[in-house]
Amino acid sequence: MSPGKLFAFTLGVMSATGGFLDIGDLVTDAQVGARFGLRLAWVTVLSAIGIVCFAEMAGRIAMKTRRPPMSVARSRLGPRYALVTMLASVAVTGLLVMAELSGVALALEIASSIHYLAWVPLVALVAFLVLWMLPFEAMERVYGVLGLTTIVFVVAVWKLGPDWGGLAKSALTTRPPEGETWAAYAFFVAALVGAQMTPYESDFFGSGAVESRWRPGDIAEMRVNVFVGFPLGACIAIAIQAVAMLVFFGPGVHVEHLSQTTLPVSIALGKVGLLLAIVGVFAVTFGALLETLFAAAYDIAQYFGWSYGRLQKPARDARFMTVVILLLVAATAFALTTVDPIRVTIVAVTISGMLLPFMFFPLLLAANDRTVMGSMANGRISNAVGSVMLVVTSVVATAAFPLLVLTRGGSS
Amino acid sequence: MSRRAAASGVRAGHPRRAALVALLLVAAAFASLWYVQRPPRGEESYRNRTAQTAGTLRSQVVTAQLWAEQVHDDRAMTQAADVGIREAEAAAQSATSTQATWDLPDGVPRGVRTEAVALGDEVTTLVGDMRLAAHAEDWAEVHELSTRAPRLARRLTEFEQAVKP
Repeated sequence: MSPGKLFAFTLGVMSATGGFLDIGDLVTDAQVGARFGLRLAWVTVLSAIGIVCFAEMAGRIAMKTRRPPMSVARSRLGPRYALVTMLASVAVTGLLVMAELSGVALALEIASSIHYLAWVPLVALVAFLVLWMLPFEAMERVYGVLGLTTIVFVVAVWKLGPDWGGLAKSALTTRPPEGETWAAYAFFVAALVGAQMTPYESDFFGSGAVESRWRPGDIAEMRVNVFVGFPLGACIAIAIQAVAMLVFFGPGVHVEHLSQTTLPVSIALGKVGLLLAIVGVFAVTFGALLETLFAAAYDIAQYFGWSYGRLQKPARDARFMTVVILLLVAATAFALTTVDPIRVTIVAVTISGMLLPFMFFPLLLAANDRTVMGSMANGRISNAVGSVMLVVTSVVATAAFPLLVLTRGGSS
Repeated sequence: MSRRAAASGVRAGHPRRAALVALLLVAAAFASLWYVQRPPRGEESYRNRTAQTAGTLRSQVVTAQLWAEQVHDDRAMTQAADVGIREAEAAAQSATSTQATWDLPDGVPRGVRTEAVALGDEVTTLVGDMRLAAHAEDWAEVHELSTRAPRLARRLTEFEQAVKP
């Protein structure tokens, strides 16, 4: 393999790793670790399997049809279905834009002690300038590389000198600990699934595959990105749960702020570790901000048939970029109302979980259509895993909102 | 009925049905929001929510203590610790003021509310003092104040256990 190809593979893996992690993950993993230990790590494993399955399907659809996979998928179920799912997806992704924007600002606050609201407009401006001026592949490389600093959470687990047997026992226990209810346990199952299988991930991945002009010959590269990148992200997510467990579970501390997510790394690794954790949080949330902006704009542009793209000059895609800018402005305005971004994140990931089966079912249908996919149609493994994940996400979708209300967002 | 009249009736029905569905969804959303935000009703709910308040207050005081210790041990930047302590104070203030606004249901002694609010005030005062010392860059004072946190955390845990139904 040539060095250039290896570099491209590595970057793709790093982008996928960072893509798994975002503000929803950072917050939810820390909350889960502090309250439940590793008793919900199995959900992260399941979510990783699910996102790998559907992102790979989305990539294959894009390669074969040279069309955005969600556009192909939705067209099978009619314009009304496509419109409703598009609107719902844009609404949830729009909430996540605000959450990611606030996440970047919160990371800057932790580093500088300047209130995050002062950073919000500046971050929005920088995001706009980055989107307008920088080629997207350059952006991906930067936040992909920087996002790897989140590996510091894995190192922190080891440095905290845990009882590995205790960690394993926690991971293999599937009931809530004493003092926690089954309702809260179930809510966080739904929240984790929504946070780690967000619809925008497979949407962005598939649309990106079209823009990068991936062809069937690139399937190996696509699969390496997916099969290595997302599971790596899942490992880091479990590490965040583990460090939160090791520091907060015993004293009964609940995580309510992003700064608490980084505190265990400080305890384990000191200032250098804390700095790396802050850089990692900044990188994954900034990367997710760009991805959610694009994913929401892709949805709208693809539905209305506008030209779009992250690889073309912005001036060539005026309507696409206008949507991006409007989303950024709306997210900034919403963040500046001082609504708690952590609460917004919890609500957004829960609603995201409710949308999953409506996103994945059409993908499964499209990937099985041999008249379109030919030899690249789903095999038995893809169908088996995809079908199981569809059932799982359907259960999550049904229970998510009632649990959000009954547990008051996981508070009880 | 003619085919055209029937078709127009069906077309006219769709927007009305869509509007009705949208209205029901909005009503459900507002009802859910009200349910989530409403104060506790009944003794069991009040005791549970008061226990949660105690848990929240313990979380904030322990978090502030941990940040202070990391700065003392030169394991955290003061900027990050300052943010952590500030957030802990804000969360403690919010939990205490929310607790204080709830009506006391029948069957709950007034002393429960009094103690919950008093503990909340103690946490807010302690963490607030830590914040002020941090802003004054007096991290030795922050560390000195943080040594009071473990005892306060134990009292909160005892109160949480005692108040649960």
